[in-house]
Amino acid sequence: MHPFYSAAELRFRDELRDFFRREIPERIRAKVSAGQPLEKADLVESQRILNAHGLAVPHWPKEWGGRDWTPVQRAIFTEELQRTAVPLPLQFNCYMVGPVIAAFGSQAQKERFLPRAANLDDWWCQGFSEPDAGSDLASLKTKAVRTADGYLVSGQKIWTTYAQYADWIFCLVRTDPAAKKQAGISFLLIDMASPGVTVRPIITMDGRHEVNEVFLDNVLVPFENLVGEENKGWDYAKYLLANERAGIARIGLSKERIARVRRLARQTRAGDRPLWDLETFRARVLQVEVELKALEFTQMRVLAESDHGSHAPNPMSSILKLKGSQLQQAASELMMEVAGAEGFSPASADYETVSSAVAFETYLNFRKVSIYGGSNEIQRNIIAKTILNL
Amino acid sequence: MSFTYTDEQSMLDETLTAVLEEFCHRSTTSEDYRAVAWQKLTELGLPAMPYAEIDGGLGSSIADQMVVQRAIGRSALDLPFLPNSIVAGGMVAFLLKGGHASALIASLIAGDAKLSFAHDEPLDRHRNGVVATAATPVDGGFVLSGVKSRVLHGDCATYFLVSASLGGAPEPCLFLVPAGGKGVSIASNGGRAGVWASDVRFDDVFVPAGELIAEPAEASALIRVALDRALVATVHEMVGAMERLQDLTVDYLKLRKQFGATLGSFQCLQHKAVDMYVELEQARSMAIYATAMLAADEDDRNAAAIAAKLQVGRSARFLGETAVQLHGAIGMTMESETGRLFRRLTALQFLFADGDQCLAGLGARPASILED
Ligand SMILES: Cc1cc2nc3c(=O)[nH]c(=O)nc-3n(C[C@H](O)[C@H](O)[C@H](O)COP(=O)(O)OP(=O)(O)OC[C@H]3O[C@@H](n4cnc5c(N)ncnc54)[C@H](O)[C@@H]3O)c2cc1C
Repeated sequence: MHPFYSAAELRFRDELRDFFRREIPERIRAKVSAGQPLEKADLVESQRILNAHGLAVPHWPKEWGGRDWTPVQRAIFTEELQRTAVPLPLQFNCYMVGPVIAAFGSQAQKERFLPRAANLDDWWCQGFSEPDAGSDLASLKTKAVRTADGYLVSGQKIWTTYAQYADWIFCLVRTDPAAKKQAGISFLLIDMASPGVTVRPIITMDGRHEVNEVFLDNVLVPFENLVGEENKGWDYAKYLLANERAGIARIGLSKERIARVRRLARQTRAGDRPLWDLETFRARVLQVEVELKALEFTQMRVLAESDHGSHAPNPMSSILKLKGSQLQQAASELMMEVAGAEGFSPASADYETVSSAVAFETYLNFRKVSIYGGSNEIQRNIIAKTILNL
Repeated sequence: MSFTYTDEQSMLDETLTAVLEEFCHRSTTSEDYRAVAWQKLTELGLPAMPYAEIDGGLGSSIADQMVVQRAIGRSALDLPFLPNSIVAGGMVAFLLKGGHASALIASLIAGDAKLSFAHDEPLDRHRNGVVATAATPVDGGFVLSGVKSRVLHGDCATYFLVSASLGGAPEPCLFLVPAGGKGVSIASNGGRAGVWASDVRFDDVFVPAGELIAEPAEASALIRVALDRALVATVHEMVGAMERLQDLTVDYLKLRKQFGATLGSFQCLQHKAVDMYVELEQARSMAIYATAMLAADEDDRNAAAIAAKLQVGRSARFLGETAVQLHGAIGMTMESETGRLFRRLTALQFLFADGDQCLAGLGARPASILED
């Protein structure tokens, strides 16, 4: 039973669930469920199916493919995507650069970029972080100098997710070196094929290639690729980060992972019984389930509040990010514990078996969720300041 | 009562740390560094440690061998010292002492031959070493069949010490089997997830009578000793990795600046580093305790070993996760020592017994470990 959804909302949920299960190939969803890295082609295929049915960018303005859903419908949509192990539409396109262009871009930019972003015809990556500008993003140094032909951009971006696949990068750059930190930053769209752009891979400890360094060496960027006004980039970035934070609790994903843990723990032998019957193990799973339930309703309360007006980011969303990442990590720990030492067996292609090193790699990989999108420490700083007034 | 290294142990530790230092700075773990690193350890004479002086060995104490394992832990490398020397070597040194296998022991000491203990089997979690691999008597010897799992560094072993049940007996015997023998096939995991482990299949492998080196009663007792030593050695390796992670984290907090200040000036991060340090000291204490208890009778020895694995496993999880968190993204990379140490430390939490297995073991004892 669901105590708060209306009958119509429940129907909406069930229809989406059926649709995702039916239309998104099982092959792709199995990878998501196991935490196995996706190929570029998997993400493109899945997003194009969604887009063909008007489901890639339902939260965008209506004229660019949006659906005018209520916040509750949007939350149901995200949760169902995650619970059915459908890859989320590419965050950089759909939740980051898309909404920024839709809100602050020129008409020409909207026409040129939005449809292609929604259909993943262009793959976007996010060029915000720099070696010396992580949590303190506003200290970024990449500079863009006005010349007769456009901006000349030089600097280094780092931790750029999927830059190796990207056609475009949206960057924060410094256009006014004299201005104080946040002022003097602009939001530029840069073609990855431009001369002077170099991508160097960074391999993470899970052995995967997800992030990169992006070097910008006197890259010429046409003026028409500036979003909004010069030196107003920080405002757009704040708007983007607020969007990024919504849905970042990934409750649906954690639920899906826990369901998998239960399934595998029943199949895994521990002595004469299934691992699921081992009290110490089961207690940890149940604890995480209860915490997820609590977070689910915390998220609903946040949504209910955001229904009434204000566009400012709700500081409660920091709670969602903080707790949500802790629970994603807890779920990844449980997956690893189900695999146990069996995970050191030679690789098996069958990701439904317990003897999978993928569970270890996913655990290592998921350390990221408490680091990016505003680290857990930064979220605590926000909560202390804005909610507790400390 | 002494809780610190002897002068000799300190010297061993320093020498070894200096030798392994070179590998700490290697930017990737994808290449197989084991042969090179093992060669260096051999030059230091380490493979001779478990063997008696009459056999040409060093006759080192188990505590000395733990010094080595802890130093290896600081390097984040997965080296065959544990399976080859501490575990299988310990058993072979005991069983073949006094000259009747001098050629084998000589080649083990020279580092030419390497051992691994083929004991665990697929899907045998919480089965407490019940062995399904079978030995059947035939003319002149035995035939072995079965699959062994998690054979550490099995892909570069020259001999396996195999536990197998003779004629369906509940307790296994021990056989010495050449890795290249007919019917032996080895599948390596390629070092994935930070552990070099193999599945080893024995398909009707003929073993001459003389290679049955321990009968059930003796073998079982020996295996229990070996597995407790393996637990304690793992604990030492984890402590080594934690020590290094602690140092790297504190250094990084002093160095990295954000918001115009060093990270170490933020009090919340100071407290995290302090909590890590407290866990490190707890882990060190249990490592020392469990090492001393290796000399106790079987029940107490085993309880101390699993208690140590439990405590150090928990401390390691917290310390490792926090170390990565405090480094930010840079701590997640394969290029950073932090990332590699964390990966290895995570894997070690599952070797020989995970947290639930330790809890089950402690729960099965009538007495509390607090009664001594
Ligand atoms: C897998 C992954 C993918 C990423 N993808 C992208 C991407 O596509 N594009 C992009 O631009 N960036 C990306 N990032 C970068 C991410 O945004 C940064 O890692 C993040 O901003 C933190 O910065 P940092 O790693 O430099 O850590 P630092 O800022 O150096 O922080 C180190 C530690 O100090 C803490 N800390 C910092 N300041 C404070 C403070 N004031 N008070 C208390 N604690 C503090 C942090 O919480 C952290 O624990 C990615 C990161 C990861 C791990």
